[in-house]
Order: sequence, then structure tokens, then C-alpha cells
Amino acid sequence: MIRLLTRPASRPALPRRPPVSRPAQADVDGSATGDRAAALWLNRLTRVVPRSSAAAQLVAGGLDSAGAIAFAAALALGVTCAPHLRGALLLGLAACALRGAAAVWSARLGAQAARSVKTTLRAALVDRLLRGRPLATAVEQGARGTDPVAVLTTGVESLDGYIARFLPARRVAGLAQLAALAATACASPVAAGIELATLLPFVLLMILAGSAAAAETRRQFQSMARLSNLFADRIANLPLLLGFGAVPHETRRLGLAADALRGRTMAVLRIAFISSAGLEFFAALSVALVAAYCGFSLLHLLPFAAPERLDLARALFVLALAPEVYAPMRRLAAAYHDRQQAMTAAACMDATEPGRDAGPPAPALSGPHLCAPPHLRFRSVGVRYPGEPRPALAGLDFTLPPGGSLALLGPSGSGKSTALGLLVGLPGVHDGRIEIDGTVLEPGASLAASLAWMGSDPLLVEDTLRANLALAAPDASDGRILDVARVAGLDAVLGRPGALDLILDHRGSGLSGGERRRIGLVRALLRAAPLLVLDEPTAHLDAASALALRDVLAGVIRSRRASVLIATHDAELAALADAVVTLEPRS
Amino acid sequence: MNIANAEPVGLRAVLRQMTRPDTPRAALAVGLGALTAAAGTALLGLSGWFLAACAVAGAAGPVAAIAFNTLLPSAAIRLAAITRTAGRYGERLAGHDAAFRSLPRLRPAIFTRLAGAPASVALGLDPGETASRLVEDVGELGDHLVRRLAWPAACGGVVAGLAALGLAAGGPAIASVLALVAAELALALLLSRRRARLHADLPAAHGRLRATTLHVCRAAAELRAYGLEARVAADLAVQAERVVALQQRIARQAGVFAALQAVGGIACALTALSLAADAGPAHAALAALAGLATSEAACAPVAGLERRGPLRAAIARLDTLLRRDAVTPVAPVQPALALSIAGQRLAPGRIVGLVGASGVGKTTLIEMMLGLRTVPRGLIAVGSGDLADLPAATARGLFSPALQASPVLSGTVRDNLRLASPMADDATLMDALDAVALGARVRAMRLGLDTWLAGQGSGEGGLRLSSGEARRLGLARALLRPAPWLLLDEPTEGLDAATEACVVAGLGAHLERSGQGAIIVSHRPLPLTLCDATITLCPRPAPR
Repeated sequence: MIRLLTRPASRPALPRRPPVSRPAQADVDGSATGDRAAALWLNRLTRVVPRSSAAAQLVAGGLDSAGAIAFAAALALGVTCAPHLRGALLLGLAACALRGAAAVWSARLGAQAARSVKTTLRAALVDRLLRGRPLATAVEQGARGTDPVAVLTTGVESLDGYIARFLPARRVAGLAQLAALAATACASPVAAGIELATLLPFVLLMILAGSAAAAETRRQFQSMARLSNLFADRIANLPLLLGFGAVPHETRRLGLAADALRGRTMAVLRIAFISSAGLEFFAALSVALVAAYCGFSLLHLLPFAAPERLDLARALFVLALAPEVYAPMRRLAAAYHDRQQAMTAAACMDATEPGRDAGPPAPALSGPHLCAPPHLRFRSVGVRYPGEPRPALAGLDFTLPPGGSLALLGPSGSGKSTALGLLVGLPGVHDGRIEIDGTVLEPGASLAASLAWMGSDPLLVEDTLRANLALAAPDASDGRILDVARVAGLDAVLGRPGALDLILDHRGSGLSGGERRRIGLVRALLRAAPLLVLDEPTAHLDAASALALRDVLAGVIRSRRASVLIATHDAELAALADAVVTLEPRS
Repeated sequence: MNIANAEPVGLRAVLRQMTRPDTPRAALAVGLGALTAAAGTALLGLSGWFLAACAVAGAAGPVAAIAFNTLLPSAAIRLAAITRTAGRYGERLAGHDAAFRSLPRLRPAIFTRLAGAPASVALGLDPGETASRLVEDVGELGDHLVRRLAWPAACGGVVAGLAALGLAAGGPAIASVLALVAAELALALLLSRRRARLHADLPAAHGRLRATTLHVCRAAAELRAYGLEARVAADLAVQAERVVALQQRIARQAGVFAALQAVGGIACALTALSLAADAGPAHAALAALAGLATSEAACAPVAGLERRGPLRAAIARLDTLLRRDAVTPVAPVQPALALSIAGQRLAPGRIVGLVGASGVGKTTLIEMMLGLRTVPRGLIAVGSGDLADLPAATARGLFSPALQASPVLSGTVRDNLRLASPMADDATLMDALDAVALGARVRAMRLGLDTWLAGQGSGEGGLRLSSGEARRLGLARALLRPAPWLLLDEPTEGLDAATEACVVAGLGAHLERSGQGAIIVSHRPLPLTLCDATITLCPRPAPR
């Protein structure tokens, strides 16, 4: 919360969900408290929609009500007064135009609002993700519901229906009901009274059904997540199932889980259908009561003294308008699913907030600027991510002399990437200290200005090969780029038509894994920084490509132009370094 | 049994077998739907007619008013109201039930086909992606089955509406309202086609956004090192903009569709009214309201057509997932027990060490034996035949593997072990756990064999075993299967010396007792002491 307040105003603000204490596993499942918190979060989120848009929604709703009233009037006039048929038809046409225009306009307003909310939210989430903890780890460790990629794509999109349909429907519902009731009251106050009386149980029923449905929906989501996890798990372990011939056995289990989901879905639907049947019943009851009252009133057979004298025109008007009293609530009920979806997404988005208790996001503190290969020293450095029981890294000690090379060797999850992330100021509470040429690197400070980085999945932008290679050194001349590219063994790519002008997409289509790594390496070498960081440079490469890349890296390490820090699980690569520090898996 | 060759491979074949909605329920849903729509029309039309008729009778004086039969029409109105409400509830429940009953059959059927695909395909499946195909896309299919039932119901509503129109205003009114409804439907179809096209573009735009996001997440440290956050955020914003703009267009189209429905209903009512105006107020009221109801009934199922795009996309995705290869039937070959690898014969019950430098292909060889990779002819022989000739399922029956990755299934300890021997009782399971020095650990768990274990990489809850424990669990699983050969890939990797000694002793005792043969791959010397022969793989002819 504090973090947001201290954030510069230019950055898009992200509504904060008030902290709710709940078990980590319940994030996706939610709970009654979680629902309230999610609703609050959504409320704050939608403040992005300008007031004028909300006002316009009300006007569109008003137009729609006017159209409904005009249609009822046209019907009453046309039926009762044949000579005025032409006038009635004209009024009907006006009703047509009003309702049609209102529908189109209201949808456009909703669509626009949804667009602006989603864009703002996504910008805020991207901002937060780019400045948060190392995302590679977050992606790998993220539970299915809270994986940041899913949140940024499907999560944000699932707010669409809520903002585009549910909110406008809710905003307009009261006004539309009031307008229909008022118009009815003008023609027949008694009929309006009857409708008002049936409306109260109707609303109560909706609230009851809504909360029952919410509980069932949560169970259905759990059941769906369980089925989804089960499928993913069994497909991931297919070698095992095949090896033991256990496919039929496991298929039966999947069938049971699928049947459980069906049961849950039907339970949710049963409640939804009962509640909508209730809505229909009261709507139909109201129409029937109004029809009976009007009929007996027209026959002058009412068993009580009515305070009004009805004629057929008024009676028909009231009858034609009766469904409109209930229509807004029915529209709201129809959009209820959109709300449920948005609530689930809201719960996930809150859970993704990287390191929500980690203090301020890594400030762009610049560390010392290095002119020569530094003497780098880690002294019992430990990192613990907020909300995680085990430290990601503990007691890491090593010394990297100027121009030397050192490899951190260990399996994935042993904290190698976390250790490297500390150099670029990625957050994480850490003990111990990091010394650069004898001075302590402040927690959160970044050496980015003085280092070059090569990862296992180099960033590619949709631009020319030249731009991609020179991403970190925009002033590099073509000659220099070509020189370095040859050193890195990128000749095959340079030989393609277009050479440096070859256009790449962000997936690097047409490039092999090894070639993509080499692009990252050229980029790092062009930077000519005094500290070179290699994060899993040979991971996921086939044996031949890994071997070729190791040869290139051996040359780079031997040149001693920079201090080289390598994180890898490849023992043969680690052997190229002057020193090797082995990290143990932390699980 | 041999469904694979008879039917065209792919989704349609599976679909035809699996997605027949439960017929009695579907018929019930259709009948109730038609009844509901008709009752809705009757409710609206009758009420209008009743009022007008009352007014006429009331105007004719008190005698006529008293003579006017109010009981029958008002009872009919109440009946229509109740029928509509109850009918709608029953229709929806029966319709969804009928459609969704096929899903628990369809999902496992697709899974079986995936698992039966050639290993190169089946093992290349992305778990998360495939799971969402099986859950979301199959769900989309289920929704489609529900929507399909809406059309006959709509016909019921239209017929009832037209009948009322005919009563009130005769043939011309029927013809003109029918023409209007047809025009409205045609327009609605056109609009829904446009929306379906927009919907169809959505997954691609979404996919690009997803890929860009994932890429940015993976390269996070690098872009941070070079200060490229702003540029990347802008790139992402461009991708996101495409998705958001498409969604906006879809939402706008929905507005046009709603407008069409509103305008169509009013137009039908007005047309009917103008044609029935001369027939007196009662008929005019009935005609106008029947016109309105007809239009509403006809348009109801059209709203579902916008899902055509997503439906087609879902079917196409499922189809590509399945259009790989068919299930290979298990041939009843009696497997001989003797095995020969690269020309070296292994008699049944031998315990053989497979050694060689790292990267020489020991694990590859194990995977070949399990049919997880294609076996080159002449490399591995079983009895007098070649392993490459045996159906994968038969070949797999020869071996009980403990894989190097030692995967833990998301499920209970018992689930994990019974994978190898579905009928094994608890005592047998505990014996196997004791053999790998894991019995005490499981007994110490509060729920024992019922303890839920978290699968690797799954976000679900459950106990997470350490890598050493996971390895031993995998080993216990292998011991439970009464196959002629155990295939143990690095059985004691990552264990401390004391545990390793226990495990090797337990393993030795088990092999002694069961008389099974074993092929052991190990870098560590202790497991190899169990072996009575070794095969050394050389780098040159390393199988690829």
C-alpha cells in the first residue's frame, strides 16, 4: 500500500486489494471474505472509467426506457383508437429508433470503458512485473492460477464482460425500473403498486440466489482447476504411465474427475436456473396480476373501490410496460457470470503482485560505475522472497578477481539466477553483502550500467538483426558488429539474404536455439562492459550446439577483457572457469 | 477393437462416438423448450386479448360484463405463466444435463488417444496447453451441444406466435410477420458471421500477446541489465492493443445485434397491429403482442451463433491435437524373456550393469526399450524377434522402469505406487517402500499411504518429496511391477551413502526373491555391485 503512495504519479496506478489473511492455496478458490475484497479491488479498478462515460451510460439507459414507454404507448393507441393508427405507427417507429440507438450506443460505451480499464491495468501489471523479482523464476514457480503470463493475458481479458456488460447493466438497472414504474403510475397507480409489491420478493430472491451461486461457483472453479491440474500432471508424466502400462487405469481416474466437474457444473446451473425461474415467475405473476386487475376494472367488477377509472388504452399501456419493470434485473442476472469471472481474475491478480511486502520496488539506484574489470566478492549472501518459507539463496561466498572467471554450478532452483539478479538490483531481502572493488553494493542498487548480460533466452525485438545485436550498444559501427559476430560464430546467420538487415520477430523464427544464444552473446560482447554475466548460456541446447557454444565462450573467458560470472548446471561449461562454486538444491 | 484403421483419424471420429447427447433428456429438453416458447407467446397474447375483450364487454353495459366469462381466460393466463416458468427451468436443466453427460466420456477418450499416439508425439505434448485443450475446448463443445437444442424450441415459439396471429388477423399478417422474422434472422445470421470472424481472430492475437509476454518474462534479467524495460513495455502494449481492439469491436457488434432484436420485435408488433386494426381492439391487441413474441422466440437461438468462431477454433485445435496417429492395438505376442542388446545376450534373471561415459546414450537406450523413442532395427532383440517389431504396449510389458527423472504423480502415495500394480494391497506397497528405505517415512506421515503428494511443477497443494525421496518412491514403484526386467536408471543418484547402502541391500534382496532380471544404469559404484555382468557402451556407435 505504501509502495503505491510513494510511486511517481506518471506511472499508472494499480488498485490495491486490501490484504486478506488466507492460506496460500485458497488464492484461486477465494472465499466469502476474498469475494468482498475482490469486489472492492474491482470497484477501485473501474474508477479509471471517466465520469462522463458513466453519465453517458445513464443517458443511453434513459433513451432505452423512453423507447420502451413509447412502444407501450404506441401499442395502446393503435389498439384502442383505429383512426389514430398512423400516429401510433409513427410513435412506434420512434420507439424503434430510440431502442436501437440506445442498444448500439450503450454497447459502444461499454466496449470503450472495457478497453481503457484493461489497457491501464495491463500497463500497471507490466510495470510491476518488469521491476519485480526475476520473472523466469516467477514463471516457473508460479502456480497455474497465478502465473504472471496467464494473469497478463487471460486474467486481464476476463474483466471484459464485467466492465462492458455487467457494470453498465447495474448502473442503469435502478433508473430503468424507476422510469417504467413511474410511467405505469401515470396510467394506473394501482398497477404500479402491484408491480412494486412483486418487485420486493424478486430482489430478495436475486440476492439469495446470487450468494448461493457464488459458493457453488467457487466449488465449480476448484473442480475445474483440479481436473485441469490432473490432466497436466498425467500428460507431463506420460512416460511413466506408458512405461507401466497404466494409461487405462489413469484414464478411469480422469473420467471420474471429469464426472465430478460435470456434477459441480450442474449444481451451479441448477441454482442459476432456479433463480432465473424465480425471476420469471415473479415477472409472469406480475403480468398476470396486472392483467386480472385491469380486466376486472374494465368490466367494472372489481371487488373493491379502486381510486382510479381505467380505460382500455391505459390498461394496454400498463400491460405492455409490465415486462420492462423486470427486464433490467433479468439483464443483470444474465451478466452475473461476467461478474463471477472478474472476481476470480481479481483474486489471481492480487496473488501475482510480486513481493507485495518487499518494500519499495527496486529503485533505479545506480551502483558504482566501473571502468576496469572489478574485484567482486559475495560474503554469505542470502535471499528470501516474501511469502516463501525457504530462502532462495543462503550463505553464498565467493571472490571473483579482476579479469578472472567464476562459475556457480548447481541444478535449477539452487539460487544461481537469484544470485546474478542481485547484481542488477532485482529485489529480494538479502543478508550478507556484496563488495565491488572493496565497496559494498547497496541492496537494490544495480550494476546495469557496467555489465553485460547473456541469458539462456535472449530478448529479441521485432527489428533488424543489426538492431538486435546492437541493442545494448546502439553506437556500434557495422564493422565492429560484424567483427564481434564472427568471433561469436554467427557467420551462418550473417550469410543469409539481408545480412545485418535481416528482419527478426520476437520469437526468432528461423533461428536455431544456438543462434539465438549467439545473438545474446554478440550483444553482450559489443557492450564491452568490465563485468560479463552469463546466466545458463548453454541450457536446453542439444549436445552439438552446446559444444560449439562452449568453444566460443572459452575464447571469451580466456581473453580476460572482463570479469566473467557464470551461472550454469553444465559441468563442462563450469570447468572452463578459473573457479567453480557448487550450489546445493534448496528443496 | 481396431477402431483406428476403420475410421478417419481425428476429432470427428471420436466426436461421433462420444458426443451423442443423452437422447431421452435431449428430447425432453426440446419438448419443454417448445412448450415454454409457446406458453410465453400465449401469456402475452392472451393478456392483451383479455383486456381488450373486457373493455368491449364493460362498455356494453353491466349485463354483458357479468355475462363475460372471466374465469376461463384468467385461468389460461395463469396456466401460461406457470407453464412458461416451470417449462423453462425443466428445459434448461434437461438440456444441459443431456449435453454435459457426454463430456466425462469425451475427455478421457481424447486422453487415451493422446497417450496411444507414437511416443515422439505423445511425449512432446505441452502439459499445460494440452490440459487447457481438454478442459476449455471440450467445454466449448459441451456448450455447443446445449445451444443446438435451442433451435427446435424456437420453432415451437414461432409456430405458436404465428397461430395466434392467424386467429387474430389472418393470412396476410402471418405472411408479413414471417417475412419480417426471416429478414431479421438473415440479418442476425450475417451479423453473427461477422462476430464469429472477429472471434476467430482473437486466439491468434491472444497467442501473440502470450508469446511476447512469456518471452519478456524469460529475458527479464537481460532487459533489466540493459535498461530496456520501457521499450519492452511498449512492445507489449502494441500486442495488447490488438487484443483489446478486437474485443472492443466484438462488443460493439453485440450492441448492433441487441439493437436488431429490439427493432425487429417492435417492427413485427407494429406490422401485425396495422394489419389487425380493423378487426377490433381484442384482435388487434392479440395480433400485436403475438407479433412481438414471434420475433423474440425466433431470435433467441441466434445469439448463440456468435460462439461459432470460438467453437470452430476449439474443434480445429482438438483436431490437430488428435490428428496424429491412431491407437495401436495390443498384439497378443508372448514375450520371450531373454534379451539381447547390441548383440550381447542376456539370459532371464540376469542383473546387468549398463555403463559408459556421460552422454553416450545409456538413458536413450532405456527410453528405447520403453518405446519412448524409436528403436533402430537390430539393436535390441527379444527372444528371437526384434524389439522394433513388437507393438510398444507389448514391449513395455517386459520392463518395469525407474526413470532418471523420478517423477511423482500428483495424487496419494498409494496412487503413485498402484500405477505399477493396480491391485496391490497395502502390505505389498509397504514392503516395496521398506525395500527402498522409505517405509518409515511413510509410516510417520499422518495419513500414511493416503498422504497427498504434490506433482512436480503442479501448482496444487500436497506434500513435496525431496528429490532423494522421489527417486526412492520411483524405485519402489518399479519393484511392484511383476515384469521380467527392471530398468533402473541411476537408482541411487542424490542419496547419501547410508541411504544408498540400505537401498542397494533392499534392491538386492528383492531381486533375489523375485528372480526378476534387471538392467542398472549407474555412475555410482555401489548399485553395480549387484550386477553379474556389465555392458559398456562406447561413444562411436552411440544410438541417437
